[in-house]
Amino acid sequence: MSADTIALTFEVRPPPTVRPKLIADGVMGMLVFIFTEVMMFAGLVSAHTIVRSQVAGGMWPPYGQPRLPVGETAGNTAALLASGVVLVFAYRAFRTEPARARLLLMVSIVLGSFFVGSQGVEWVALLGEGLTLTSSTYGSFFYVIVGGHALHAVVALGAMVWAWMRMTKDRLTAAELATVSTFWYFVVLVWPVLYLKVYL
Amino acid sequence: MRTSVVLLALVLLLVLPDVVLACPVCFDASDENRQAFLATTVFLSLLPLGMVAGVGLWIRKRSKELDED
Repeated sequence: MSADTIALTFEVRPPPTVRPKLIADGVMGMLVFIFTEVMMFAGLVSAHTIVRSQVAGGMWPPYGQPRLPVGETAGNTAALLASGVVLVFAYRAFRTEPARARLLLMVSIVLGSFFVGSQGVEWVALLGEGLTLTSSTYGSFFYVIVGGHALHAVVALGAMVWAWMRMTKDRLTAAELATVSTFWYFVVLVWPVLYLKVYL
Repeated sequence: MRTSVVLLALVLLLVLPDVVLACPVCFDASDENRQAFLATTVFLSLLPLGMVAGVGLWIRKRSKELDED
């Protein structure tokens, strides 16, 4: 070897292992959004609790205001919870049985739509009985809290319909389904808390 | 002049607490109302901490699962 020759040595290393993402970007973004929404509902429920505790004589609903339909809403709540359970099965079937996942997602959408539709019918009846946004703090809390939830439910149902349409074209990714499902689980799980606080 | 201003300030300090509501949540002395304030304060304080802790634990669990795979 001559004096001006440089000896190069190469260390052969194994290729770096690519670790899958812990959480899909969409799910992470959705979780941050849900955190803010949970705090909004927590604030509203807390305000409702305090106002209710200040009512003289503990008369709730106030005099002249209609009682909320506890029984009918319990049925709607069951439909909403069933929708969430069906969505869990749809998500599990997504990779292995796409046709079954499509069917289950549709069932979940139908159950969710039944909940929203029934709540709408209930609202029309309550408006007819004189419960409005300005009739009392009772009415204000009812429409703001339950209406806020209904708004979330409608948007989440729209997202689920979008997911179903993409699923029928084989374009839906697991991350997209997880993101939409996370939103719907929030809508489903926050409702029993609102029901217990507002209706009972 | 300065002495009179100080005296006036002292008198106001003695009188004003009786006029204004020093505590914005002390207008109702009912036990149920106090309990409601206490419960909602605890609820709103712990809820964000619980959510962050829950997601943190879930990420940790998921990380361990990926390491084992």
